[in-house]
Amino acid sequence: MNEEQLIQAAQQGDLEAFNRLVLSYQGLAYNVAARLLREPAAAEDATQEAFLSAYRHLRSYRGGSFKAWLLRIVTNGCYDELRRQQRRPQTALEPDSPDGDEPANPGWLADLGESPQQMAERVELNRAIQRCLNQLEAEFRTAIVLVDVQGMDYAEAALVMKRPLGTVKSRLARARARLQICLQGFAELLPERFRLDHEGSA
Amino acid sequence: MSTPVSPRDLEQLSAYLDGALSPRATANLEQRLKNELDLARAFKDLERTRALLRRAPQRRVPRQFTLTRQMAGAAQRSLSSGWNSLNWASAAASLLLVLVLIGDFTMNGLPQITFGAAAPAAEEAPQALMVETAEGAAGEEGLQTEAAPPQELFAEADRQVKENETGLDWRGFLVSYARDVEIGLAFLAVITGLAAWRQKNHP
Repeated sequence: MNEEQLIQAAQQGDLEAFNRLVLSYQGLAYNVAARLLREPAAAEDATQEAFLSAYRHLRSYRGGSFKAWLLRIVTNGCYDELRRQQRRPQTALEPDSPDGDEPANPGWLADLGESPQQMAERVELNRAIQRCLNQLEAEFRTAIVLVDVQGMDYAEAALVMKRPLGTVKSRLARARARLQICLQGFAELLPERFRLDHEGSA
Repeated sequence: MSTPVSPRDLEQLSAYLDGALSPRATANLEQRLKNELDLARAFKDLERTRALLRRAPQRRVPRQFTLTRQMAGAAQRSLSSGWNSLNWASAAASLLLVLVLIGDFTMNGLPQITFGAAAPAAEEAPQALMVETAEGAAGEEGLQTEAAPPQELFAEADRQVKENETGLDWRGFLVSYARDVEIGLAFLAVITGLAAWRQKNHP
Protein backbone atom coordinates (compact mmCIF):
# COMPACT_ATOMS: atom_id res chain seq x y z
CA MET A 1 0.00 0.00 0.00
CA ASN A 2 1.27 3.48 -0.80
CA GLU A 3 0.91 6.44 1.56
CA GLU A 4 -2.40 7.59 0.14
CA GLN A 5 -3.93 4.15 0.53
CA LEU A 6 -2.58 3.88 4.07
CA ILE A 7 -4.15 7.23 4.95
CA GLN A 8 -7.51 6.20 3.48
CA ALA A 9 -7.43 2.91 5.36
CA ALA A 10 -6.47 4.68 8.58
CA GLN A 11 -9.31 7.18 8.09
CA GLN A 12 -11.67 4.22 7.98
CA GLY A 13 -10.35 3.05 11.34
CA ASP A 14 -7.55 0.70 10.29
CA LEU A 15 -5.09 1.07 13.19
CA GLU A 16 -2.54 -1.16 11.48
CA ALA A 17 -2.41 1.23 8.50
CA PHE A 18 -2.06 4.21 10.82
CA ASN A 19 0.80 2.55 12.67
CA ARG A 20 2.62 2.00 9.38
CA LEU A 21 2.38 5.77 8.83
CA VAL A 22 3.72 6.28 12.36
CA LEU A 23 6.71 4.10 11.60
CA SER A 24 7.42 6.12 8.45
CA TYR A 25 7.30 9.48 10.17
CA GLN A 26 8.30 8.90 13.79
CA GLY A 27 11.98 9.67 13.14
CA LEU A 28 11.20 13.00 11.50
CA ALA A 29 8.55 13.93 14.07
CA TYR A 30 10.82 13.09 17.00
CA ASN A 31 13.80 14.96 15.54
CA VAL A 32 11.76 18.11 14.92
CA ALA A 33 10.36 17.94 18.46
CA ALA A 34 13.81 17.31 19.92
CA ARG A 35 15.25 20.37 18.16
CA LEU A 36 12.35 22.60 19.19
CA LEU A 37 12.23 21.47 22.82
CA ARG A 38 15.28 21.29 25.03
CA GLU A 39 14.58 18.07 26.89
CA PRO A 40 14.54 14.66 25.20
CA ALA A 41 11.76 13.50 27.54
CA ALA A 42 9.57 16.44 26.54
CA ALA A 43 10.28 15.70 22.87
CA GLU A 44 9.25 12.08 23.41
CA ASP A 45 5.98 13.13 25.03
CA ALA A 46 5.29 15.73 22.33
CA THR A 47 5.85 13.14 19.60
CA GLN A 48 3.53 10.60 21.19
CA GLU A 49 0.88 13.26 21.79
CA ALA A 50 1.17 14.40 18.17
CA PHE A 51 0.52 10.89 16.85
CA LEU A 52 -2.46 10.48 19.19
CA SER A 53 -3.84 13.83 18.05
CA ALA A 54 -3.25 12.91 14.40
CA TYR A 55 -5.16 9.66 14.91
CA ARG A 56 -8.02 11.50 16.62
CA HIS A 57 -8.31 14.08 13.83
CA LEU A 58 -7.41 11.94 10.84
CA ARG A 59 -10.86 12.45 9.31
CA SER A 60 -10.21 16.20 9.11
CA TYR A 61 -7.17 15.58 6.87
CA ARG A 62 -8.29 16.69 3.41
CA GLY A 63 -5.36 15.64 1.24
CA GLY A 64 -2.17 17.50 0.37
CA SER A 65 1.13 16.85 2.08
CA PHE A 66 0.54 14.41 4.92
CA LYS A 67 4.07 15.12 6.15
CA ALA A 68 3.31 18.85 6.45
CA TRP A 69 -0.05 18.13 8.14
CA LEU A 70 1.61 15.84 10.67
CA LEU A 71 4.53 18.18 11.34
CA ARG A 72 2.12 21.02 11.95
CA ILE A 73 0.58 18.96 14.74
CA VAL A 74 4.07 18.26 16.12
CA THR A 75 5.15 21.92 16.04
CA ASN A 76 1.84 23.12 17.55
CA GLY A 77 2.33 20.63 20.39
CA CYS A 78 5.88 21.88 20.88
CA TYR A 79 4.73 25.51 21.02
CA ASP A 80 2.17 24.53 23.68
CA GLU A 81 4.90 22.80 25.66
CA LEU A 82 7.25 25.79 25.33
CA ARG A 83 4.48 28.11 26.56
CA ARG A 84 3.85 25.76 29.47
CA GLN A 85 7.55 25.72 30.31
CA GLN A 86 7.64 29.53 30.25
CA ARG A 87 4.67 29.72 32.61
CA ARG A 88 6.07 27.12 34.97
CA PRO A 89 9.85 26.93 34.57
CA GLN A 90 11.30 23.78 36.08
CA THR A 91 14.83 23.03 37.18
CA ALA A 92 16.03 19.48 36.89
CA LEU A 93 17.25 18.00 40.15
CA GLU A 94 20.25 16.51 38.41
CA PRO A 95 21.30 18.20 35.18
CA ASP A 96 22.65 15.94 32.45
CA SER A 97 25.97 17.75 32.68
CA PRO A 98 27.38 20.55 34.88
CA ASP A 99 26.42 23.22 32.33
CA GLY A 100 22.97 21.74 31.77
CA ASP A 101 23.80 20.25 28.35
CA GLU A 102 23.34 16.70 27.28
CA PRO A 103 25.72 14.07 28.61
CA ALA A 104 29.11 13.80 26.92
CA ASN A 105 28.22 10.47 25.36
CA PRO A 106 24.48 10.35 24.74
CA GLY A 107 23.13 7.00 23.64
CA TRP A 108 21.21 8.43 20.68
CA LEU A 109 24.46 9.61 19.08
CA ALA A 110 26.27 6.32 19.42
CA ASP A 111 27.47 4.93 16.12
CA LEU A 112 29.47 1.73 16.15
CA GLY A 113 31.18 2.59 12.86
CA GLU A 114 32.97 5.73 14.05
CA SER A 115 36.08 6.39 16.09
CA PRO A 116 35.98 8.03 19.55
CA GLN A 117 37.46 11.16 17.96
CA GLN A 118 34.68 11.36 15.36
CA MET A 119 32.11 10.69 18.03
CA ALA A 120 33.48 13.54 20.18
CA GLU A 121 33.36 15.88 17.19
CA ARG A 122 29.75 15.02 16.47
CA VAL A 123 28.79 15.57 20.09
CA GLU A 124 30.51 18.97 20.17
CA LEU A 125 28.90 20.00 16.91
CA ASN A 126 25.48 18.93 18.09
CA ARG A 127 25.91 20.76 21.39
CA ALA A 128 26.93 24.00 19.69
CA ILE A 129 24.02 23.82 17.24
CA GLN A 130 21.46 23.04 19.93
CA ARG A 131 22.69 25.83 22.19
CA CYS A 132 22.43 28.34 19.36
CA LEU A 133 19.02 27.02 18.31
CA ASN A 134 17.78 27.41 21.89
CA GLN A 135 18.59 31.11 21.73
CA LEU A 136 16.25 31.68 18.80
CA GLU A 137 12.57 32.51 19.16
CA ALA A 138 10.28 29.53 18.55
CA GLU A 139 9.18 30.47 15.00
CA PHE A 140 12.72 31.28 13.85
CA ARG A 141 13.87 27.99 15.31
CA THR A 142 11.09 26.13 13.53
CA ALA A 143 12.01 27.69 10.17
CA ILE A 144 15.64 26.71 10.47
CA VAL A 145 14.92 23.22 11.83
CA LEU A 146 12.49 22.44 9.01
CA VAL A 147 14.53 23.86 6.14
CA ASP A 148 18.17 23.49 7.18
CA VAL A 149 18.18 20.57 9.59
CA GLN A 150 15.39 18.48 8.00
CA GLY A 151 15.93 19.69 4.41
CA MET A 152 12.32 20.67 3.64
CA ASP A 153 11.57 23.20 0.89
CA TYR A 154 10.00 26.61 1.52
CA ALA A 155 6.53 25.57 0.39
CA GLU A 156 6.39 22.60 2.77
CA ALA A 157 7.81 24.67 5.63
CA ALA A 158 5.17 27.34 4.96
CA LEU A 159 2.46 24.66 5.18
CA VAL A 160 3.84 23.35 8.46
CA MET A 161 4.19 26.82 9.95
CA LYS A 162 0.88 28.01 8.46
CA ARG A 163 2.60 31.18 7.30
CA PRO A 164 2.97 32.82 3.88
CA LEU A 165 6.03 31.83 1.86
CA GLY A 166 7.51 35.34 2.18
CA THR A 167 7.33 35.17 5.97
CA VAL A 168 9.11 31.83 6.01
CA LYS A 169 11.83 33.21 3.70
CA SER A 170 12.51 36.25 5.84
CA ARG A 171 12.40 34.30 9.12
CA LEU A 172 14.81 31.77 7.73
CA ALA A 173 17.23 34.45 6.54
CA ARG A 174 17.21 36.20 9.90
CA ALA A 175 17.50 32.93 11.78
CA ARG A 176 20.51 31.90 9.67
CA ALA A 177 22.19 35.25 10.32
CA ARG A 178 21.64 34.97 14.08
CA LEU A 179 22.76 31.38 14.16
CA GLN A 180 25.88 32.28 12.24
CA ILE A 181 26.84 34.90 14.83
CA CYS A 182 26.12 32.46 17.66
CA LEU A 183 28.13 29.63 16.09
CA GLN A 184 31.11 31.93 15.63
CA GLY A 185 31.16 32.18 19.43
CA PHE A 186 31.67 28.42 19.60
CA ALA A 187 34.47 28.38 17.01
CA GLU A 188 37.07 27.26 19.58
CA LEU A 189 34.86 24.50 20.93
CA LEU A 190 34.03 23.08 17.52
CA PRO A 191 36.26 20.48 15.91
CA GLU A 192 38.50 22.13 13.31
CA ARG A 193 36.68 20.78 10.27
CA PHE A 194 33.40 22.21 11.52
CA ARG A 195 34.66 25.76 12.16
CA LEU A 196 32.86 28.44 10.21
CA ASP A 197 36.00 30.38 9.36
CA HIS A 198 37.68 27.24 8.08
CA GLU A 199 37.76 27.10 4.30
CA GLY A 200 36.23 24.01 2.86
CA SER A 201 34.26 23.06 5.94
CA ALA A 202 31.05 23.26 3.92
CA MET B 1 36.84 46.57 6.95
CA SER B 2 33.65 44.81 5.88
CA THR B 3 30.25 46.45 6.02
CA PRO B 4 27.21 44.45 7.15
CA VAL B 5 24.72 43.54 4.45
CA SER B 6 21.21 44.97 4.59
CA PRO B 7 18.31 42.78 5.78
CA ARG B 8 16.93 42.79 2.23
CA ASP B 9 20.23 41.61 0.78
CA LEU B 10 20.47 38.98 3.50
CA GLU B 11 17.02 37.69 2.58
CA GLN B 12 17.99 37.57 -1.09
CA LEU B 13 21.22 35.74 -0.33
CA SER B 14 19.36 33.22 1.80
CA ALA B 15 16.76 32.58 -0.92
CA TYR B 16 19.50 32.37 -3.57
CA LEU B 17 21.27 29.76 -1.47
CA ASP B 18 18.12 27.62 -1.59
CA GLY B 19 17.50 28.28 -5.28
CA ALA B 20 14.29 30.13 -4.44
CA LEU B 21 14.94 33.36 -6.36
CA SER B 22 13.36 34.24 -9.70
CA PRO B 23 15.68 33.93 -12.75
CA ARG B 24 15.86 37.71 -13.07
CA ALA B 25 16.66 38.26 -9.38
CA THR B 26 19.21 35.46 -9.57
CA ALA B 27 20.98 37.11 -12.52
CA ASN B 28 21.03 40.46 -10.71
CA LEU B 29 22.38 38.96 -7.52
CA GLU B 30 25.05 36.94 -9.31
CA GLN B 31 26.26 40.13 -10.99
CA ARG B 32 26.44 41.89 -7.64
CA LEU B 33 28.24 38.95 -6.03
CA LYS B 34 30.98 39.31 -8.65
CA ASN B 35 31.44 43.02 -7.92
CA GLU B 36 30.69 43.40 -4.20
CA LEU B 37 33.21 41.75 -1.93
CA ASP B 38 31.21 42.16 1.30
CA LEU B 39 28.14 40.63 -0.27
CA ALA B 40 30.19 37.68 -1.54
CA ARG B 41 31.71 37.19 1.93
CA ALA B 42 28.29 37.29 3.56
CA PHE B 43 27.05 34.71 1.09
CA LYS B 44 29.98 32.43 1.82
CA ASP B 45 29.29 32.66 5.58
CA LEU B 46 25.63 31.87 5.05
CA GLU B 47 26.53 28.90 2.89
CA ARG B 48 28.85 27.53 5.59
CA THR B 49 26.25 28.00 8.29
CA ARG B 50 23.71 26.04 6.30
CA ALA B 51 26.24 23.31 5.56
CA LEU B 52 27.01 23.06 9.27
CA LEU B 53 23.32 22.73 10.12
CA ARG B 54 22.88 20.05 7.50
CA ARG B 55 25.61 18.09 9.22
CA ALA B 56 23.68 18.19 12.49
CA PRO B 57 23.25 14.56 13.56
CA GLN B 58 19.76 13.09 13.47
CA ARG B 59 18.59 11.55 16.71
CA ARG B 60 17.54 7.96 16.86
CA VAL B 61 14.00 7.49 18.17
CA PRO B 62 14.15 6.34 21.79
CA ARG B 63 11.18 3.98 21.26
CA GLN B 64 8.36 3.15 18.87
CA PHE B 65 5.47 5.62 18.83
CA THR B 66 2.91 3.24 17.35
CA LEU B 67 -0.51 3.23 19.02
CA THR B 68 -1.97 0.26 20.85
CA ARG B 69 -5.67 -0.59 20.53
CA GLN B 70 -6.16 0.77 24.04
CA MET B 71 -4.52 4.12 23.19
CA ALA B 72 -6.52 4.44 19.97
CA GLY B 73 -9.79 3.72 21.80
CA ALA B 74 -9.01 6.24 24.52
CA ALA B 75 -8.11 8.85 21.90
CA GLN B 76 -11.44 8.38 20.11
CA ARG B 77 -13.39 8.49 23.37
CA SER B 78 -11.69 11.68 24.54
CA LEU B 79 -12.44 13.35 21.21
CA SER B 80 -16.10 12.41 21.18
CA SER B 81 -16.65 13.29 24.85
CA GLY B 82 -15.00 16.71 24.40
CA TRP B 83 -16.94 17.35 21.23
CA ASN B 84 -20.21 16.21 22.80
CA SER B 85 -19.72 18.43 25.85
CA LEU B 86 -19.07 21.46 23.69
CA ASN B 87 -22.02 20.63 21.47
CA TRP B 88 -24.30 20.32 24.49
CA ALA B 89 -22.99 23.60 25.90
CA SER B 90 -23.62 25.29 22.57
CA ALA B 91 -27.14 23.85 22.34
CA ALA B 92 -27.92 24.88 25.95
CA ALA B 93 -26.67 28.43 25.35
CA SER B 94 -28.73 28.68 22.15
CA LEU B 95 -31.86 27.42 23.93
CA LEU B 96 -31.40 29.90 26.78
CA LEU B 97 -30.91 32.65 24.22
CA VAL B 98 -34.22 31.78 22.55
CA LEU B 99 -35.97 31.75 25.96
CA VAL B 100 -34.53 35.12 26.90
CA LEU B 101 -35.51 36.55 23.51
CA ILE B 102 -39.07 35.33 24.03
CA GLY B 103 -39.04 36.74 27.56
CA ASP B 104 -37.69 40.05 26.31
CA PHE B 105 -40.37 40.25 23.64
CA THR B 106 -43.06 39.50 26.22
CA MET B 107 -41.68 42.05 28.68
CA ASN B 108 -41.41 44.78 26.13
CA GLY B 109 -44.80 44.07 24.61
CA LEU B 110 -47.02 43.44 27.64
CA PRO B 111 -45.95 46.04 30.21
CA GLN B 112 -47.75 48.90 28.43
CA ILE B 113 -50.97 46.92 28.70
CA THR B 114 -50.62 45.35 32.13
CA PHE B 115 -48.74 47.45 34.59
CA GLY B 116 -48.96 50.56 32.42
CA ALA B 117 -52.77 50.44 33.05
CA ALA B 118 -52.76 49.02 36.55
CA ALA B 119 -50.41 51.49 38.14
CA PRO B 120 -52.26 54.69 37.28
CA ALA B 121 -55.53 53.07 38.34
CA ALA B 122 -54.04 52.26 41.70
CA GLU B 123 -52.65 55.74 42.08
CA GLU B 124 -55.95 57.34 41.05
CA ALA B 125 -58.04 55.26 43.47
CA PRO B 126 -57.45 57.32 46.65
CA GLN B 127 -57.87 60.58 44.69
CA ALA B 128 -61.19 59.39 43.28
CA LEU B 129 -62.31 58.57 46.78
CA MET B 130 -61.25 62.02 47.95
CA VAL B 131 -63.28 63.64 45.18
CA GLU B 132 -66.26 61.44 45.92
CA THR B 133 -66.11 62.24 49.61
CA ALA B 134 -65.68 65.95 48.94
CA GLU B 135 -68.73 65.96 46.70
CA GLY B 136 -70.65 63.95 49.24
CA ALA B 137 -69.68 66.40 51.96
CA ALA B 138 -70.80 69.38 49.90
CA GLY B 139 -74.14 67.75 49.00
CA GLU B 140 -75.02 66.38 52.40
CA GLU B 141 -74.14 69.02 54.96
CA GLY B 142 -74.29 67.89 58.54
CA LEU B 143 -73.49 64.35 57.83
CA GLN B 144 -69.72 64.63 58.54
CA THR B 145 -69.30 61.02 59.61
CA GLU B 146 -70.46 59.68 56.23
CA ALA B 147 -68.17 62.08 54.29
CA ALA B 148 -64.89 60.58 55.62
CA PRO B 149 -63.33 58.03 53.18
CA PRO B 150 -63.55 54.52 54.45
CA GLN B 151 -60.15 53.36 55.79
CA GLU B 152 -60.45 49.90 54.20
CA LEU B 153 -60.58 51.51 50.73
CA PHE B 154 -57.31 53.38 51.38
CA ALA B 155 -55.70 50.20 52.65
CA GLU B 156 -56.79 48.34 49.52
CA ALA B 157 -55.42 51.11 47.28
CA ASP B 158 -52.09 51.08 49.18
CA ARG B 159 -51.84 47.33 48.80
CA GLN B 160 -52.42 47.59 45.05
CA VAL B 161 -49.76 50.31 44.70
CA LYS B 162 -47.27 48.20 46.67
CA GLU B 163 -47.97 45.15 44.55
CA ASN B 164 -47.50 47.13 41.39
CA GLU B 165 -44.29 48.69 42.68
CA THR B 166 -42.88 45.24 43.50
CA GLY B 167 -43.90 43.98 40.04
CA LEU B 168 -42.31 47.01 38.41
CA ASP B 169 -38.94 46.40 40.13
CA TRP B 170 -38.80 42.75 39.21
CA ARG B 171 -39.83 43.25 35.61
CA GLY B 172 -37.81 46.42 35.26
CA PHE B 173 -34.73 44.56 36.41
CA LEU B 174 -35.27 41.85 33.81
CA VAL B 175 -36.04 44.32 31.04
CA SER B 176 -32.98 46.45 31.78
CA TYR B 177 -30.62 43.43 31.86
CA ALA B 178 -32.26 41.38 29.08
CA ARG B 179 -30.07 42.98 26.40
CA ASP B 180 -26.87 42.13 28.31
CA VAL B 181 -28.04 38.58 28.96
CA GLU B 182 -28.94 38.15 25.28
CA ILE B 183 -25.54 39.38 24.13
CA GLY B 184 -23.79 37.16 26.68
CA LEU B 185 -25.76 34.07 25.64
CA ALA B 186 -25.31 34.76 21.93
CA PHE B 187 -21.57 35.12 22.53
CA LEU B 188 -21.48 31.90 24.57
CA ALA B 189 -23.46 29.99 21.92
CA VAL B 190 -21.12 31.14 19.14
CA ILE B 191 -17.93 30.47 21.14
CA THR B 192 -18.96 26.98 22.24
CA GLY B 193 -20.19 26.18 18.71
CA LEU B 194 -16.87 27.28 17.23
CA ALA B 195 -14.95 25.36 19.89
CA ALA B 196 -16.94 22.20 19.10
CA TRP B 197 -16.21 22.62 15.40
CA ARG B 198 -12.53 23.23 16.10
CA GLN B 199 -12.32 20.29 18.48
CA LYS B 200 -13.66 18.04 15.76
CA ASN B 201 -11.71 19.37 12.80
CA HIS B 202 -8.43 20.76 14.04
CA PRO B 203 -5.77 18.63 15.68
